[in-house]
Amino acid sequence: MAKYKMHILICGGTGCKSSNSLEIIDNFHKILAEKGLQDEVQVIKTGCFGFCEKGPIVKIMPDNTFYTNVTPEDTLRIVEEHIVKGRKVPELLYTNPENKEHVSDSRHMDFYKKQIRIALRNCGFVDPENIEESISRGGYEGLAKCLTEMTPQQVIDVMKASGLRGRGGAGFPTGLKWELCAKNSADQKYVICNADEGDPGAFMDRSILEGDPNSIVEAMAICGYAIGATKGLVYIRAEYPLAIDRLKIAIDQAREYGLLGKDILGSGFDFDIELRYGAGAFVCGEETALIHSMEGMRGEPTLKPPFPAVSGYMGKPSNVNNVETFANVPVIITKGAEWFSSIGTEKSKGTKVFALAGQINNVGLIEVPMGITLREIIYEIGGGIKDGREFKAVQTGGPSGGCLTAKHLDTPIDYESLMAAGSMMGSGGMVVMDETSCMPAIAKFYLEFTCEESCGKCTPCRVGNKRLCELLEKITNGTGTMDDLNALRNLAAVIKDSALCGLGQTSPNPVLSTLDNFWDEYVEHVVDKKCRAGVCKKLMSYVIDAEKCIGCGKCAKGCPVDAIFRTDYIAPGHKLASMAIDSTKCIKCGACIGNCKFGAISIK
Amino acid sequence: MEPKGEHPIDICLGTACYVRGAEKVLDAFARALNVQVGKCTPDGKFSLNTLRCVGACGLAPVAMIGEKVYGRLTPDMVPGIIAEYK
Repeated sequence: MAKYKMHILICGGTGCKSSNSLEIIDNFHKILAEKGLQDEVQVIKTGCFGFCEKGPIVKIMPDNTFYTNVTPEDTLRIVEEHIVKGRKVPELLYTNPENKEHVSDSRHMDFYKKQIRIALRNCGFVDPENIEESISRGGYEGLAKCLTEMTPQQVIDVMKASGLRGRGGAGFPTGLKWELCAKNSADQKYVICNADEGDPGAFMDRSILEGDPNSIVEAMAICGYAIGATKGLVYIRAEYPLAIDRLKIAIDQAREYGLLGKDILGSGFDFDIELRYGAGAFVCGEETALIHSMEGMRGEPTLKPPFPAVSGYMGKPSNVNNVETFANVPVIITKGAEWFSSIGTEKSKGTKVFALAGQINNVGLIEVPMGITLREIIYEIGGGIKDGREFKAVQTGGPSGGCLTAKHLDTPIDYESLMAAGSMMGSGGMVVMDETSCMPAIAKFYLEFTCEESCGKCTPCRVGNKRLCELLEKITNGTGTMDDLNALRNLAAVIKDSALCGLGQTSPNPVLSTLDNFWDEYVEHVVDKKCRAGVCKKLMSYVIDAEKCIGCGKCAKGCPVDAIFRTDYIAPGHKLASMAIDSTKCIKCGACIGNCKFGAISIK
Repeated sequence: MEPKGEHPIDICLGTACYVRGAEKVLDAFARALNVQVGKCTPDGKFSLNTLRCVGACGLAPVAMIGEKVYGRLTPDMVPGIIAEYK
């Protein structure tokens, strides 16, 4: 890296790629070549910086300037001004929404201030396709330390002492999991990385694999050493082509450098990694279903015990950890268990990556210490609710989690507190909702997802979720009754108790938590036949205020079903007769509201 | 079986997009093309479908037309986007 004077880092994550970041990279290459600067300035495509809201993001090193919302046209200006003349381009810097001042250093932005980046330590700093960059930032140091200075039991002891728990959602202590697998002797054991991120709205595992694949390769080798496995398998969804490519490159380069394969670093330890592709089934995130899918069978869960630590892949002892869990491992080894356990709460140590999304100003990928409050995440890091609207709920844990409300804003977040509040950590999706979200409709939305993704093996999940979904359909289309609400609660409880695997046991959570926290809204739907958020179409009608309508007829022109007609009534002070909506024809598309400049149309 | 259009349109209905109004965008596409979700236009140019999460949650709500991702959509942007392909 030393021969270059400056580095231009451009985010190549999925979000920024969708806003032309690849074109930006091409432009930089072209412009730098034209100016003969290609040997002095290096252009690097990195993984996700996290601040997706302001993407595409371009960072200039060594002065750590953070440019936001960069377009391909801006590249010339950045090169001419910043690279050549050393002057920052103020219009492209982040503007602090409070005092309107430009902030050039990301460390001073509210979005980054409260974050502690452990799992994401290298994302946005290294070229994920170059192992040397990873090594220059301490990559593979942990593996070297394990192989040369520690016994497998010492590695397990450090992991246990660190307090790291599974980041896939359930929060099982990682060190203990490793120990259970290490205790079982077999001729072959497996280390499995669960990269089957199926929760819609969560993208932390993909971002780690795209931004820092070497940390996963290193962690799997460390785990292999600790439990006595020589083979690693990554179960990754085929929908993540970029993550697959980068992981393959990292594995190949690690082999070349002697960090994978036979006799790693001359220690006599052998370890290699293969990829297995998943077809993107939600249930395959469950470890037994994942293992069956890898074996070439149907992705269906089986009862535990036997646990994978006893009988996993091909009947051999296997240890399954999630991507984010693995990403924490190398730093715990190099910096020590004490350092890691000093971060977080009593029972939940370290940090958690959340994919912050929804009706919030700063959407993105954040990593925060356990014990932070929702208020800090939403209002400080997230910059508050979009368009100054009122906070209503935050959904954590995806389709298996629940909704938390304003009363939970000051609860410190950890595995236990989220569970107590009726939600769960899950993989880390965090979707913020304001008053424009209808809670019964959100519950239905999640149930539709679970119905699609249920593998169908056990009756409670296959049939029960379908019935839940039908009840919610009734409630949201205005034909529900109070009995339906009771039925909803009873059925949800039965499914929770009787389903075979984690998918079914947690699928009623969105229903139960919204019933608990937004009971009034459910009652409004079934008794008053009203949807206060204006989401449930069957429960609302569009009306034109005859006194405000000037009779221009623009609404009628834009109506796709000709539901708007002219009345005989001319309001005082107007020249034309007002318009009215035929509710029997109206499809509630909302086109008329957008067309009316006089605010005469409203939803009742 | 329903054929795919020359330009397959997929609207993301992942959670992040859903709460940011993806359904309204979906309605706008259905209206502008006069086609139902899951179907293809009679001239075979466009088909309209939904999917769960493209992973570009920062740009929600998003739609994909072929390989191209359109982000931060509002219903009134829809006719302009369709015009690009006509």
